[in-house]
Order: sequence, then C-alpha cells, then structure tokens
Amino acid sequence: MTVRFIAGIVFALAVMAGTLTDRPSKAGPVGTTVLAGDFHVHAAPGDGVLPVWEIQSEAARRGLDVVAITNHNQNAATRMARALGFVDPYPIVIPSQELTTSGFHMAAIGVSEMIDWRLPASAAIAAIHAQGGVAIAAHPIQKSWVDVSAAALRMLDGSEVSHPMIRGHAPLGAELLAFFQHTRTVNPDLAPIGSSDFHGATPLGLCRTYLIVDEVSRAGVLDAIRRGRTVASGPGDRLVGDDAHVEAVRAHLRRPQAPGFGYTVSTWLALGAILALGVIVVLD
Amino acid sequence: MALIALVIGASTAVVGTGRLTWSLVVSGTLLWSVVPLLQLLSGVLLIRRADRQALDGYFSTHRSWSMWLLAGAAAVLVLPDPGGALMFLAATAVVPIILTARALAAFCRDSLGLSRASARRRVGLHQVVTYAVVLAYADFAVALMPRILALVGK
Repeated sequence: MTVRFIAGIVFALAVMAGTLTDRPSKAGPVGTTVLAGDFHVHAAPGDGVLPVWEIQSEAARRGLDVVAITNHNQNAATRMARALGFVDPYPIVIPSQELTTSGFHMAAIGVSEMIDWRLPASAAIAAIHAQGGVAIAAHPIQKSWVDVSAAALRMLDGSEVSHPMIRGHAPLGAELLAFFQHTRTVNPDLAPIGSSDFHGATPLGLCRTYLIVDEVSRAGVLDAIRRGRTVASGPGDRLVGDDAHVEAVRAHLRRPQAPGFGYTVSTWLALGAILALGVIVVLD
Repeated sequence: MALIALVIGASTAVVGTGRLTWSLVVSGTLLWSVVPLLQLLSGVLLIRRADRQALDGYFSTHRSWSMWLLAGAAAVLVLPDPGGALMFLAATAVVPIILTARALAAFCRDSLGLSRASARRRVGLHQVVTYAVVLAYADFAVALMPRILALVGK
C-alpha cells in the first residue's frame, strides 16, 4: 500500500512537472507568408493515438500552422472534436479523409462528406473537387498505387514526395520522386507534398509541407496546393520543389525534425511517470 | 477499471507526443475509457454473476496488457527512432495475448471454481468476442475491406 501510494505521488508530480514545463502554443502568422503544414494525420477515434484537440496543440508545439485530419474513410474524430467545441481557430485544422481503396490511397483535403472508396481515381478526385477540396496522392509507391489512369494523374493537386517510410529506404524515396516527376509531365502544377502520416510513435510534422500563401486561412492553404506553391520537406533537411519556391522557403526554415521525440526534461519526466504507473500496475 | 483507462490514456499520450501533461492524461483517459467499459461487458460473459470480488479478479488479468502498453510507451521515449522499431514492438503483443489467456483460464479455475475444460470453453468464448470487437474497431479505424480486396487482387 505504501509503495503504491508513493508511486501514485511520483506519477502525479511527474505529470504536474511535465505540465509546468510545457511550452505554450504560438500565435498564428498574418499576411503573405510561408506556412508549415502536415496533410496526412490520423486521429483518435481511428488509427491515431491522439484526439484532434491534442493534435492541434501538438501541431503548434512542433511549428505547424495547419494540419489535415485524414482518417481512413471516416471522419468521426473531427466531428467529435467539433461537436465538443474543442477545436481552436489556430493552428488551422482541415477536416479531410484518407481515401483508402483497393487500388490507391489519396488524401482528400477539405472534404466534409466522405468520398466513396469504390469510385475509380478520376471520379474520386472529381468528387473531392466538387466539395472544394484538393486531392493528394498518398504514399504513391507501386505497391499501393495500382489504379492510376492518365486522366486521374492530370486531375491530382499534389503528391507525397516526403514521407517517413523513406527513412533508410532510398528505393522508396526514389519511387515517390519518380511518381511525382512522371505526373508533373502531364500536370505541371502538381504540388510536392511532405507528410508525416502521423499515427503515433514518430513526431507529428516529421515530414511536412511548406506553403507560400496569399492568405492565412483554410482557403489560402488549399489555393497554395492547387497552384503548386509548395515545398516538401523531410526526412532531415531534404527539400523538394521548384527552385524559386525552395529559395523562398529556405529563409523560413525551422530546424529539421528529428526522427524521435528527442531527450528533454519532458522526456525524463514522462519516463518517470510511466515507470511509477508500472509500479502501481504491478502492485495492484 | 479506472487504472486500465489511466494506463491506456498515459501510454497513448506518450506515444503521440513524447510528453505527459495533465491535459494529455485526462483527454487520453476519457477517450480510451471505452476500452475497459467494453472489457466490463465481455467480462459478464466470463463471470456470469454480479460479484464485485470476481470482477476485480477479472480486471487484474489485464496486467500483462497494461505492462506491455507501458513498456511500449517507455520504448518510444528511450529509442532515438521509435518509428523504425514499430513492427518489432507490435510483434511483441503476442506475449500479452498468451499471458492474458492463461491468466483468464487460471481466474476461471481458481476464482469461479470451474473445471479445466469449462474454463477453457469460457475463456475461448470470451476471447472470440474480444477479438471480434477488436476486428470491428480495426475495420472502422483502418478500412479493412478495401485492404482485403487489395490483398486478393480485386
């Protein structure tokens, strides 16, 4: 009983210290500027570990201005967060979908009605555009993109070229780049996109997209993607985009994201809390 | 029950952010409290009577899953690139799967006084129901049907 009580106190103190050392969110930028976004984020309930409101505060902490919640063929997480009134105006949260089909995965950014996964790629993109959204090819490697008609490639708004799966797997990086370059031959405004495909275990925004926007708003973000005014970033300091855009973005670059959470005071406080919880479980 | 929800809430917060704050702990605990609630419902299949002591014994069989979740959260904090070890960490789930089934069988024999054969049948039913619920959530969370169709080449 005494050891459990002490472990409980240690847990509470470690979480309290973690709360006190937590950095507050930054205020949003204004005017014509460069924004950082992550357009492939999974939330709970779904196959992500965090609810939308915690993703939003984590986004602010990691220097992201916009995130798209892209759960697989459902948007319960976004609807729940909005119904509870837990979504702040900034960082911008865009309700979206990872359209998951047997032939391709596509990030449907800015859709409120779910796109039918039985549609072929071109019809799905048309349905996304009809809702004012943009369509991004999600991790388009040969294994997961088999239904690729020329019409669909011409309609795409963006394609992921930076994704955590290419860390230590150069051939996958080459595949993403080859898809992007091939699609650009028929679709010159195709936006290069960097996404973390966040579920948990790796940091939000590990790979990200820099956007050159005219207006800091959801409409401004979607417009930048439509016009191809983006630079994909990551892993590390890898940048993919038109030279002029890369040059514009370089001045705004924050430090490259580390593949893990790093080792800060928060890390050790969290570890202390987890160990204390372990003691409580063992003695329960 | 509350401890299980707290373990899941704290673990998911760490796996998602590498930190723990009260906001993260409370959000995660409330959000994932549906898990012990479902466990409570499936426990009715196993215990089949209103008995507080038996229920406490039943929830103590969650210990191996709780320790696995906490170990996973600790690994995410300590490893320099936890994403790279994700498949390995997921594969280690076989340990709590086996240990929980054994703990449930022992609980049925020792606390509910069932014979070895009855205990095995009841645990089997409990596990089938549990994994059916897990499968239903997986279908909701990752869109299983299109993935299955992709696997079979349709």
